[in-house]
Amino acid sequence: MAITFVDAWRKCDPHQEAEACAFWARHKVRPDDADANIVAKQLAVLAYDDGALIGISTVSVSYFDPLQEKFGFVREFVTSNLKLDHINIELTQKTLEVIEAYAQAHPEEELAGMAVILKAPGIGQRAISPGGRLILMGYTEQNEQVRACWFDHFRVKSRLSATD
Amino acid sequence: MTIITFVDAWRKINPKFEADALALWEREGAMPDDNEAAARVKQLALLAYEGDELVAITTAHVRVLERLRQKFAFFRGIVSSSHRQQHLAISMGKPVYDLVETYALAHPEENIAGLAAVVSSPVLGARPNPYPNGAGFVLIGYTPKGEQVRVSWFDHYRVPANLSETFEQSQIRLQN
Repeated sequence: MAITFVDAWRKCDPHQEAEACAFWARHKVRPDDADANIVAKQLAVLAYDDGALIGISTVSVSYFDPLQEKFGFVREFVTSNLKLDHINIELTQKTLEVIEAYAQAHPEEELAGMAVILKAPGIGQRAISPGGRLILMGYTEQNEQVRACWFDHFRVKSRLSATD
Repeated sequence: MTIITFVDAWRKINPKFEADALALWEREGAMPDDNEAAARVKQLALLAYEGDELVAITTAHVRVLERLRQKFAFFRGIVSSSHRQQHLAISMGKPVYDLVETYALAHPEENIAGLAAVVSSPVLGARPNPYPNGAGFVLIGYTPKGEQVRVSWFDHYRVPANLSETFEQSQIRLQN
């Protein structure tokens, strides 16, 4: 088994987008074509096993209120297969590398870090995720864990005035 | 050349440490009132002495950090005005982390998840990730006043597996 990862972030590659939409449709993970087409614009990393697409990460950039900065929120889907359990972790790591490199090359976008919302009950007992970068930083209103990491190059401005 | 010695005062009942701390706080005008001083003296963590003179104090107050739904030891430090240029408070962060972590490991019933700090200075904290050789504090949010809230999780700690579990429910489960 040779797993390869392909950077798809901000590539706007019609072939990658079509492949992703077909993958989601095949696995019934997107409710309709319109939704899939929108999310295809957020492709980050594609994972292949001997040339077959087995996993996709997407990143949606939005303002993260508790941290008062813009973060890339990652979603992943990997085909269900016990042999591929570790792929989720590797896909997250590759996605982090891709988005961090992009953020460093595009400081005007002020992308502070990456975040993930854990939706599966029973995971996430370690506050620091495998790889050591995604850290439990809070919860959603639905009690899902929010894990985030700051990009190392990023700097925050003080929210205090010098006279405080 | 001055030699600074760090002394572990965490959860120790030691009248000399307490008297020294009260004297330093009074000298520096650091306590709003006697009640606050009486409470803080029970939270002493690591003390820095130069000879017999106490020159810096760190305290750790254990309480629930609502955002993370776990108990953290809140780290605070004060350095005497005569020693403010020596980065003493920063250099005490990692030793305080180590001693509270050791304590937390030995006392799992207290469920202390890590160390936390509120950064009140506008000139500190530009780097949201931990500073090298520090206590591992990462920025996780802000107080309503705009102060940074930073935490450093203990590696051994495990958060409740049930995502819908409240903090109170997790405490009941862990006690049973």
